[in-house]
Amino acid sequence: MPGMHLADGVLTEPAVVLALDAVGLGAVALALRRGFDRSARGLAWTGTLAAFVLAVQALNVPLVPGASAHAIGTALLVLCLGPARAVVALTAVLLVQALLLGDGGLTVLGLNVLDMAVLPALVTWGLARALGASRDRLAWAGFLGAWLGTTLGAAGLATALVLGAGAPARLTFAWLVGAQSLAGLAEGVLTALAVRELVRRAPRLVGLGAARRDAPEALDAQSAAPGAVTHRGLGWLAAVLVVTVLLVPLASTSPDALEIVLHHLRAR
Amino acid sequence: MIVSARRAGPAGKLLAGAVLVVGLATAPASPRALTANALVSMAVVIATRPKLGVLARRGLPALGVILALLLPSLLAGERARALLVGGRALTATLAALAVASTLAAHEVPGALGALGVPGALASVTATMLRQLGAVRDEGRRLALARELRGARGAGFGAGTVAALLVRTAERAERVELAARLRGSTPRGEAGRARLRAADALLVLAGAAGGALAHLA
Repeated sequence: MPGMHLADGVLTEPAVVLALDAVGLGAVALALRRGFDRSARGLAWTGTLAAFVLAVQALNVPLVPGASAHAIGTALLVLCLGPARAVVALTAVLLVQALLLGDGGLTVLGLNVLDMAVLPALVTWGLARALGASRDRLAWAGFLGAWLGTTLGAAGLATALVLGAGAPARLTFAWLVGAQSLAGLAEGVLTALAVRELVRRAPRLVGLGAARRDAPEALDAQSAAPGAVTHRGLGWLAAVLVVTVLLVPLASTSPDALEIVLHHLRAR
Repeated sequence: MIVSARRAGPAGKLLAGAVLVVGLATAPASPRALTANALVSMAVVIATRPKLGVLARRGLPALGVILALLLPSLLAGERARALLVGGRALTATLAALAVASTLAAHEVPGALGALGVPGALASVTATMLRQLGAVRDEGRRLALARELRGARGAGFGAGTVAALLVRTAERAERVELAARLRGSTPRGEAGRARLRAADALLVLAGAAGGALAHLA
């Protein structure tokens, strides 16, 4: 189960597909109209982080025998770009995955955008605004945003399968939400640790104010003083490290999807 | 059709592929329609001649995803219907992958722009594809450095992810500055392709393929 990409042809009710696609693509249109920086630097920075997410999504983590998941990266992207640009960047990622990799369907692109970009972005941004901008709180927003966002996206996908394909509700919710909340937990831990590291190494890259900047400047000169980790942060870090140590080393070393896109780039 | 598929522009290929996939993905979930879907997909694979290794590498994970999505229906005893839906999804995915094999990634943003996708989204896609190689190279450097420091296992920790993001930002800044100095912009790259009259034949072929499954 790489991510939660819904494939073409799985849903059998065209009205459900059209309605959910309209909601997802409508949200992208809204993101493009409001709060999206169209300057050359803004477009370049958004595209660069989209490339980063496309690369990170190529690393699969086995969940249970026969099923694996990859990081979606929405929470990290939202904390670096703000919700509007994060949704546009993820839409570009999902579009390329559907067009070149067969990962997610073209006819359900809007639905995949809704589940994997819009819902997690709204959750993460709401949490970041509610929790505040300190290093620990941003990390918490990253952890909870990634976990809850992934779980909410899985619930959205399960709803689509129940309404649009007549799937049995209890089994579908138990399977998808259960498996993806486990994947979301791993992603949450990875996101939180990455956010903490980013705040330490390049504070201008991440945070609530990042949404208003088009691109970082002079990253080398921005490193904060080391050793600012609190006791509370250390305890929290120890807990999440246990989960990371258990799950992250299982990541695949052969990011096939990335290689195939690069193959397409080299072709012709 | 083979000649047409190779000569058509990227926007034409993309539109024809989309029309075909919509047709295959919305075909009735019946044995006759599934047979028609399979025949059309096979014809598309023959016409586009993708590398079979690449097709298998992407097709098998897609099959896994489809089975995972249909698992609750299979467990609930709706096997016949689930298999028909799964077969339809797989044939649509195979056709999409075969069409994708005729497209180079750098053609995609221009084709999207020509088909009316908002310019900002096409520009972000163009930059994303251009920077992907840089991200991959930085990732490889980090992995090599990690190995040289004696780290074991294939894992990518949070520190590596953060370091990759910072390095990507630094390198992207240099690459974008160099591109702008040469007069290249993301908007320019995304706005070059056009839908041509010659693409109409391929789009019609895609529509005919999609319609076949519905008529079966």
